[in-house]
Amino acid sequence: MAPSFDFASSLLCTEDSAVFDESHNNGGTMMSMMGVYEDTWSPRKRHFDEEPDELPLLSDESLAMMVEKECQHWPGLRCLNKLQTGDLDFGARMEAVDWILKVRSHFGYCSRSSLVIQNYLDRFLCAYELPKGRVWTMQLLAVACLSLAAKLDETEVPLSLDLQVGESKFLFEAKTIQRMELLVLSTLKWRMQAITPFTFLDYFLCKINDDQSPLRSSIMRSIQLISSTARGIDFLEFKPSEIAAAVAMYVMGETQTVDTGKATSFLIQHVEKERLLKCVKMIQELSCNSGSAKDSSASVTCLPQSPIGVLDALCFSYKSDDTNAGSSVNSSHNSPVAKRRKLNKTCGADLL
Amino acid sequence: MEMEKTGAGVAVLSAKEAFEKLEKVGEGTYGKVYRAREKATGKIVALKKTRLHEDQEGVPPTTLREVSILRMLSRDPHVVRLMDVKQGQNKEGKTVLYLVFEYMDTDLKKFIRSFRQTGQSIPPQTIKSLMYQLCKGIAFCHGHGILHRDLKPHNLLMDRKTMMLKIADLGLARAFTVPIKKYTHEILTLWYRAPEVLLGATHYSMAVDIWSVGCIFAELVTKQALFAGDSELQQLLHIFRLLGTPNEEVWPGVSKLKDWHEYPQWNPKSLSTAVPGLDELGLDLLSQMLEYEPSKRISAKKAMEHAYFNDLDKGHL
Repeated sequence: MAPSFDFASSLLCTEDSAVFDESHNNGGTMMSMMGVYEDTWSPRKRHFDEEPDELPLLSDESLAMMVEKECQHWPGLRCLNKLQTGDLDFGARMEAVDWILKVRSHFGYCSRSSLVIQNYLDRFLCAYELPKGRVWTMQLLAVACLSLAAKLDETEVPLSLDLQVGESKFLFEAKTIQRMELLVLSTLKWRMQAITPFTFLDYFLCKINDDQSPLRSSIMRSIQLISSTARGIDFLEFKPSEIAAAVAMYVMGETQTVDTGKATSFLIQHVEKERLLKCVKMIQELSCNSGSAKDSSASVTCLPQSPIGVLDALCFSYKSDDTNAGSSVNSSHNSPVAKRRKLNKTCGADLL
Repeated sequence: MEMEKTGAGVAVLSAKEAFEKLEKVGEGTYGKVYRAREKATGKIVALKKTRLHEDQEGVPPTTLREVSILRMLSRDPHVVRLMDVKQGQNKEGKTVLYLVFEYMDTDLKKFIRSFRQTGQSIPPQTIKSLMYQLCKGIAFCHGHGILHRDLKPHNLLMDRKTMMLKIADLGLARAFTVPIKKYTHEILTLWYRAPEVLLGATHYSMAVDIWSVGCIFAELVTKQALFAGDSELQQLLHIFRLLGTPNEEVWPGVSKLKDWHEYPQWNPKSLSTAVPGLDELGLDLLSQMLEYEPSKRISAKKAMEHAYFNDLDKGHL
């Protein structure tokens, strides 16, 4: 027990310390980055702040309906079992997911799109057996799912030739992609309005923040964490509402602005308590293990072509810088004490 | 390849042999709409045909959105019911999609026109019933996180016998989720377009549909479009002439919208001048639907609770 705790403590201290060192050692870079952020986001930020009420929020009734419907869109345990037992090609799926992330980043699509695309991919793989031994079929499936998600959700859809960026091994023509699109659509019964954690996120963040709009930083952090859950298969066992609830609780807990006990008692009205707590724990571990994720994320970063992409790239860049800063020597004697104290408080809150 | 052929074969047979086309009843952006009879049951349906051009980019976004959204909304009696999607091939061997809808014999545009031609007014209780059904259907869409974004009389189907109204044509509809999501200035029928859209807002919300509902409400009473502009500027000027030119007092933030300019300054007029024949409660509801500030515009759900509908028998709606 104690050694494990110390290990976690050590990791967290390192992470916090890294952030601290970052601001000291690379002040110029940080200021420059912040400047970029401000310049890029200023118009949108003003609009967002001035008309917060314009943002649609699910009503209580809508949430109940969405929770009821999400099982129609959830690959769930069946898919997870197939991946774990090898019935589905884990490696090929991972390659497809990585490619999806690259392309999404390239076109600056919002984080939700990745989850939508992966939702299509996983649901299809559970329902339809691709021919074995033909590696191009997974790639074609990824292209078709990406194309469908772009058409459904984005305002600008690239040509299918332009869609196939990012070192794909095969290049498919429009006719072939169209046939795969139709196969995906009929296999998924045209249920393409995928319910993802983002469907529930705003509602949960607002409710556990006493019906106040959450900080943009909390929204951004939540989006980041939800996107991270999609890269592996560990979170496939959780429903979108469970992931959203866990992320909301973790993020708001991180900011120390809410009582986690109260948050828990609200959230368990909508999701099972045991599964919520398990998911929160996994989110926490995901957040702690973000070192390795940072390396992977850094390699995924491409030049964005829209404001959304700029923000996502900044998030990735931040992670990357954090990784570099992590190797810096901690020269302050006071820092460990302060960090450790904060950590204890956080852990205490979690135990409530 | 063989599997695909077999699949296509089955689809071709089922699509062609399942229905008998009776007459063409409409033409949309991507294809034609037919009244047809299902051979197995004798049931009359509407077939919406979409051809997939191989030189174009596969399934059109409007078809994809419409079908997937209708799949989500299939429970509500005030949203048109999509019964099936069938894939087939036409004579030239091109892939065709057929959306199979329940058949409705008219739409609100034709309904209003028929009264205009006879010179009669639509009975007040009929207007009330249709408006209640419209608010209920839109509340259902919004409750599922769907903005319609193209509400107009032509997209509101009706059954003349039962006076049931159903929302249709969700090809421009959108799901809203993450608050940073941005929408474009896509094609929206000008007469029913909300002022914030005309002024270039991209972070618009459910309120854009409510504005359209308000315009339709007025049109049911007067049988004429309330704001009939023939350009975006003219559309705005029509609105400003009646409701007054907005300023920062009545609509905080309006002057910062992308397409804001200096406009002639009009004072607001009473809505009763534009919609004579609507009673006090109706005018109050209409004024709340035509609020300039989107966040203050009444919601569809709240509209259903408005006193204007108190004396309506809602049991069968």
